[in-house]
Amino acid sequence: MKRLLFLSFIGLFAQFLVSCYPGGADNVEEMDVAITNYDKNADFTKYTTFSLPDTIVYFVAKGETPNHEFDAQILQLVKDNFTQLGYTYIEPTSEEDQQPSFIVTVSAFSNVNYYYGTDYWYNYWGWYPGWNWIWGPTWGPGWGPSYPWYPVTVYSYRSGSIVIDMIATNQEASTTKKVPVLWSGVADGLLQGSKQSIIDRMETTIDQCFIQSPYLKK
Amino acid sequence: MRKLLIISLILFGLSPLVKGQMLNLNYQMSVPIGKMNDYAGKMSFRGMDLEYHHFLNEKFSIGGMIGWNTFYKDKGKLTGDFRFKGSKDIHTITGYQYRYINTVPIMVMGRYWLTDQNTMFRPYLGLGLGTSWTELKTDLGQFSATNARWQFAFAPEIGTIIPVNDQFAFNIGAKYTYGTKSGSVEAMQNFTISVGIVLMGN
Repeated sequence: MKRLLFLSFIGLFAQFLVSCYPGGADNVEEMDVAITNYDKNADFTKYTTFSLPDTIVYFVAKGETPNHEFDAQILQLVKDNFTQLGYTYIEPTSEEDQQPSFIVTVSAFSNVNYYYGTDYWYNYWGWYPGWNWIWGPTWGPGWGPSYPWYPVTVYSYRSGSIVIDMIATNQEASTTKKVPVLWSGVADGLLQGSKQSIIDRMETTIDQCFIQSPYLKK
Repeated sequence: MRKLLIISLILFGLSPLVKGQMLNLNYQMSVPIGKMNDYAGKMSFRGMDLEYHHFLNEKFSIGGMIGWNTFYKDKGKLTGDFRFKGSKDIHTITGYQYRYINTVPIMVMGRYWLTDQNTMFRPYLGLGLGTSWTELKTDLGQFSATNARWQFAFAPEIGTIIPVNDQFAFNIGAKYTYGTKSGSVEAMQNFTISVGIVLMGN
């Protein structure tokens, strides 16, 4: 009888310890992360001017329509961050203008259960399909960014992510169809809460991508 | 947990066969020290161990123990360098970090008892020797990084049992545990207070 009591005591005890196993994130904001990586061989002093397209490319689940409501706001934020670091923005208006030394692309993923590791996302989705860049060759099907770090990681975009890629304007790109990525910033978070709170969190996380990349500063 | 139960069942099964033994279940509170304190420096109120002691004579006993302690610390927003599985590249990630340490020490124990069996308090000095499975886990956004290793471990202890009758007693003890650095898991140190119940067979 006593042994039985002791045994049930152990059981109760273990139960108690398991049931109060400590917590973790309590709210969505605490799930936000800013992830950055860069080409360790790149000489960032070589890059002084940049441009960026006026839209965000969305990768969304089938049947969903991307919402471009916040494109201007996010693009402006990205642009501001680069100018604050000391880079000069060039408006893509005419071919006569000076060619920028890098361009910045902004992509957004939402509710896409997709892993970088198994297949490259741009092969699957088409990457900036047919985007006509006035200074260079048209990025058509089969084109994609080439990340110097391997593999572009295993992020799963089952939440919402904004990926900012800093891409060198490289003449060799037209033959290889790969554009070299110098720096990547990913703002990743759960798409929960009001639109405004999501966008606020995204902006904080985008800013953080730049804060944690001091090598970009001029 | 099932393993624990099986071990305790075996110990119980043996108990009628052997004289001069005790079985001890403890609740434990622990403070991480050193590198473990850097990792998740917060007192833990989640711990237990199960001990068995067999008396060689009035003054000496040998036995064994298995335990479990969980440490947890909310580190807040931090920037750190991480490697993704299968990649050598370092990514910088900023986010809220939640860190856990789980340790499962399994040791052989020797004890020296300062008094004979008939005193009100029966203080002891002991030393445990064995291994500790130590797992460090960091949760960050949707990501989780886990490092786990078996460490060589030892644990000197001091304490006393307080017999209620010749079959039942309480135990109060203090213990220092050290697990050697193993691979990427740093040396584990903690200080533990144990409070528990003892079943004795004479």
